[in-house]
Amino acid sequence: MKRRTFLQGSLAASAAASLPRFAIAQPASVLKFIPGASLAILDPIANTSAPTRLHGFMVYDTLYGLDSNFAPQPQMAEGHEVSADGLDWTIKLRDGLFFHDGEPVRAKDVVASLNRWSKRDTFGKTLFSRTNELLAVDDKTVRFRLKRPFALLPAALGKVGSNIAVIMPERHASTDPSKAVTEVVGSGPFSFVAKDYSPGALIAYEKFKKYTPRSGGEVGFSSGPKNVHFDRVEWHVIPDGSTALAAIQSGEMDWWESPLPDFLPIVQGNPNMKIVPAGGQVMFLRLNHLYPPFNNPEIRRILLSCIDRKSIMQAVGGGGEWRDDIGLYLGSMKTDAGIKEAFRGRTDFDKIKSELAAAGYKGERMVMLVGSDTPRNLAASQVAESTFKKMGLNVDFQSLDWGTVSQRRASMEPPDKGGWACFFVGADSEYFLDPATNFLARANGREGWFGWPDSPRIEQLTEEWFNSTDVAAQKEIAAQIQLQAWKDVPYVPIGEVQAPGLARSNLQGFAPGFAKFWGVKRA
Amino acid sequence: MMLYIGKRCLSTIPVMLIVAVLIFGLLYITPGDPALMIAGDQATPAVVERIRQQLGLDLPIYVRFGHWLWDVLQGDFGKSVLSGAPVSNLIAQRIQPTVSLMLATLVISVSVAVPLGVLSAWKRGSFIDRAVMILCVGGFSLPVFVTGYLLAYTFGLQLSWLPVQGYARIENGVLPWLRGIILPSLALSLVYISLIARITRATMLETMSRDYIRTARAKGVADRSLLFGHALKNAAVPIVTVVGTGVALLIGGSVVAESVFALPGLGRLTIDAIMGRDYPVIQAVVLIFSASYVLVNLIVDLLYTVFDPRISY
Repeated sequence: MKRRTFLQGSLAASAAASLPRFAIAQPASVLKFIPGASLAILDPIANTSAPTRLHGFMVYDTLYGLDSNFAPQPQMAEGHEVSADGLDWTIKLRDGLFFHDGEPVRAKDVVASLNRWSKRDTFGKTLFSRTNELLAVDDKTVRFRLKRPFALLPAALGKVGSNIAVIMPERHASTDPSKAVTEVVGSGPFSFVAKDYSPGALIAYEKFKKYTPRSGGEVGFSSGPKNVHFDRVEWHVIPDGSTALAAIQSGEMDWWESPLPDFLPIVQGNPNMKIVPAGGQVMFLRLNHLYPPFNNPEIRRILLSCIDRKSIMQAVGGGGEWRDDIGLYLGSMKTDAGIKEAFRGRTDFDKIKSELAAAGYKGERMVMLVGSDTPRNLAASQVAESTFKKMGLNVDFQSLDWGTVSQRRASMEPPDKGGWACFFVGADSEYFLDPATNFLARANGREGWFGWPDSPRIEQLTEEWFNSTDVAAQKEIAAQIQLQAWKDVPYVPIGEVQAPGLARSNLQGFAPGFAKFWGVKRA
Repeated sequence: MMLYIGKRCLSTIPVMLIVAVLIFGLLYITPGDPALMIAGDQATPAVVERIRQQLGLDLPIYVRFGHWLWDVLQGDFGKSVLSGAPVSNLIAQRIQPTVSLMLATLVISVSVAVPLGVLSAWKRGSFIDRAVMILCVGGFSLPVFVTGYLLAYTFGLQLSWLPVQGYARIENGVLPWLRGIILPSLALSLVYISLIARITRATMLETMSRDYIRTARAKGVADRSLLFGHALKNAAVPIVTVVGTGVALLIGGSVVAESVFALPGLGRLTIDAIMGRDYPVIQAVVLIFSASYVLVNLIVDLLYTVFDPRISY
């Protein structure tokens, strides 16, 4: 190398080093978001995963939404009229509703969409079991003709836990609800950018310019004006927590949906970042009612009396916000009925062992499925295992990846043939509002959720709750369901943990609950 | 030569077939059900069964294998059972980051490791030699994710010279592409620099003790010419072998680097597919990795003839 060439190279290198730091710059109209998990399935009717629901709320809209008190409010609906006998509900669509392909939203799209939704969603099935007919009166009006009054109709159409009653074009809504729609055409505030979609890496949305937000009101849980302040929202899937944190710290990303609780103390005091409100998550223990030991109600009740909810939630929630005093419901039907009597946190293990023996426990293997790649499930399982062993239960702690747990828990076989006895998992708090949304508190046997509890009394009370039109009466029934649940133990509610997000300080306008991309803007 | 290449290409067919059978068999015995993933938590058994039928998962394994093999022979890897996207599209989206990462790693590794190995052999026993060997031990000892985090912290967070994550496609500009690929390539290179430098040093030491090198030196051949023109050329065959073997290791290493730096490459696609039990994607990606390994081995064998004229096929 000639000396002159060397000097030129050195000067160039020095000049490059003195350039301003340029890793931070990004266009102001793009919001970069790190989701908790990747979006694999694009149809919120065919799939109930959290990313699919989040995606659903971005690209689709619903007739009703829930406000911050979980009360249903018209969203796509202008409003509704109910006949004097409570059997005819006439819902008018508001003006200015368009699908992303430019077509107006018509009543026939609504009818087809709700029919499809009702084939997959539990609340939807309940509504349609009470429906004689759903028809499009004209392009902007739909009418439910019910068999009996059903005051929960707007709540069903505005539910925020999967499956949400999204409105699709008729051509999509008339397809098999068990087969996911792959073309995304909604009428929500964002349109899906199919050409940029890279599952597991990038999911992009653009502001839908023809979207007309509701006028007035406040941004609620899923209701209110959905004003969009970004031209484009990008979900960047970053599976590694440390990398995601670094991306927020460096300003390459704006918002992280679900940071690990361990990271929150690191960012406290950092002026460039802030913790933002997000939804809670309920941790629970599901028991298999088909086989020993938990096919025995007495053993289930003993377990309930011993479970150490505080220790489990301490392990799950760490230094974050959590509570261990929950019952079955967190919304308007919340009740304290029987909680203290049921959850005693007993530690008299010698007596417990003799009670278990008297109840008929013969040391049967208790297969505990543990999703060891999900930190909260793992923490809860590890703490509970210690209690179970002290109780004298023959715990078989099976550490698996969550995909395998998902498959194993569907097995109705006995434990020695791939079956199971219990597992811990969390679900978004929106699923625990009342008897309509809390699918875990249902006890309809093999028709129900994994674990298949069978309690005619709980089902009868739930049916009464659905039929009731009086809120005070509903609250009383909800308390009775809860008391019955402490006897039949369809599941064991452990506690609720808040799962805050993390964002750059210059973002504002966050609403509580799941991540909402309307209302959020850069300061 | 062409006959040899033809034979080698033909010999890959049974290899790929065995790989395909093994992958299919392994996936069959692995627990997990994509139908359950698609249906979600609240689906009834009837819905799950219907999805299983739609995906063809209710068919006997040999029938499924037959269908899959027939489609692959026609260049169709099927569709992702989760997203419904054609697997070939998913691979096309993800191949560039992985290939970029592997090529950049190879370029950095070879261009740093070979001169280091030669220098170390030439200055055997000196401070330089010991420093290079310490670097090699360190490079071997540090896992890729540790190196990756250190580099991201230093050059991304502290100095803000380079992004801490992400990938910019080359068609969007060479500079952004280069900026995105530098840190992961460096993190991955350290191991290969160590490996190749040690092999180069050992092979060079052996070569330099040969009679013809002593003769050349006695005849007054200059050091540079002696090292690079005579010794290195004759030491090249083992080095090329190690580089070729390193490509196989790179496939595993790239999965880690892609996760640490959030590169949307084939490694992450594979992990996601395994976690989601997305069988068509797993089968296609593993098949592609196997094919590329076979191809690299063929290239290595052909390179032998370039460096050692005594070898012919």
